[in-house]
Amino acid sequence: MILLRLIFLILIFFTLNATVNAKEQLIEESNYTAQDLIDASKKVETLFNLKEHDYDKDIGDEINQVCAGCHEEFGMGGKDGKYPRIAGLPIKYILKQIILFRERKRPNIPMLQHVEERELPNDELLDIAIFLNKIKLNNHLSKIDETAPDFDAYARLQEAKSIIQIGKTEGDIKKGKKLYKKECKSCHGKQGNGDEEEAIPRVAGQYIKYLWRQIDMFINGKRLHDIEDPEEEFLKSFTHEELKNILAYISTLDD
Amino acid sequence: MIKVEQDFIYKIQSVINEEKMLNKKLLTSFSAITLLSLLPLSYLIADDASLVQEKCGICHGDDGNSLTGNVPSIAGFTAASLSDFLDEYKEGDRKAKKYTPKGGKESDMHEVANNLSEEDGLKIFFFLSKQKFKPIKQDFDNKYAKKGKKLHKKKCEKCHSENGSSVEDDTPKLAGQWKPYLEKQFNLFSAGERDMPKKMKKRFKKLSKDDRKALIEFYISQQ
Repeated sequence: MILLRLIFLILIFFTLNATVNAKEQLIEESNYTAQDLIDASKKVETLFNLKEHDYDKDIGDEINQVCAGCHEEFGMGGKDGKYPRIAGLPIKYILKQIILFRERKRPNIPMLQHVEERELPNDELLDIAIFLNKIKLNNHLSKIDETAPDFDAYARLQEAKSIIQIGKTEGDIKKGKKLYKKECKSCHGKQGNGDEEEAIPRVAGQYIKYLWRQIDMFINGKRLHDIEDPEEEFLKSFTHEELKNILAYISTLDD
Repeated sequence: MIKVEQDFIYKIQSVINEEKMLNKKLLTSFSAITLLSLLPLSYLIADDASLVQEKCGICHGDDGNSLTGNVPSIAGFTAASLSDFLDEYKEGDRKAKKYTPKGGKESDMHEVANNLSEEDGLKIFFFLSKQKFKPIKQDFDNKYAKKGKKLHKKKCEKCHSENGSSVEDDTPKLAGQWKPYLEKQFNLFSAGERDMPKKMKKRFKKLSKDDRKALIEFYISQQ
């Protein structure tokens, strides 16, 4: 019996080791090039016809049951940024990321099982992208009279669940504001809400730890930041202090 | 019977007439009160205009449209961008140059920025943002302007949208701006004496002297 248990334990150990190695290997091997990003953008334009698509809210809701497992019911993510907020992201941005996951260009093991085309056909992908895009999250609960005769408790519960409030992180907010306005605002927007047209994601209302992880990936060439300047990642030219200040400012943008 | 009805009609008519008279009186007195109450408001509007005239007008023009080539027109810029530009001077991020306007005393933007209260600043930025930018009528080189148009579309349009005339992203007006001012700023950028966002610096550095001339001709050609 003890022997059996021992063998069992050893097997588990090896499996875990293998997954960790696989993850590192995937990140190591991701040979992300500018052309890959261009191709993904092209695919988004050609594979999906946003204008003529008949959006099915129910399909979106149904698929979201799977996403909610990690990203929560209203797409606000969790575990302090281990799972990013996906509510309200630009439609084309969501589509592009799923394609990049599919093609193993953007390293992300947990997402792999959910993005294969047989699992998530393109029509349904468009539905979930639109569904997520439409979710509005608030940063605080609205003031209403809970004793009023027409008080809807269920609606109130749903409202209470659709809240995300990014806490202030350490850093010089004033310096961060200056830097943000100079270097980031032109793409990520004055309020950090991104750009729907240009498929630029929001940075306000996103977990700071998640943003740090992405910055690391951009700097290490594991993920591409800007298609216009693929060769040189301009985030590399910031000091750690400057990045910290910028993120401290960003953490106040959703207030 | 007929007389009773006639009396009745006569009474109603007189009541209606009285009401009409009353309405007329009410209308006149009401409109008089409204106009009188607007008088202090006109002082307010006049107040902002005279504030701008006092603090900025002698160089930038009373409505923000500059009459001299060395000073940029700032009419129609977004209030946020005007505030940011002034902050850059105030905090020393942008070097101020001494300048003596016609009929005025020597000063520079650093001094102006430091002598402006926050309250006045807000009024001024808001006022100027509501003014119409008048593109300057200047001679330009068509051949260079055409080259500049292509360059702008490729390298600058992303932020300086609508051929450099949009202020939407808190960008300054390039289209229709004074040529001497544009030339001066381009020189400052090239010499590294004026700061730029990293993404702009990357593109600007690659411009040849000819490229820069082309861009300027393109901007001033938009009149």
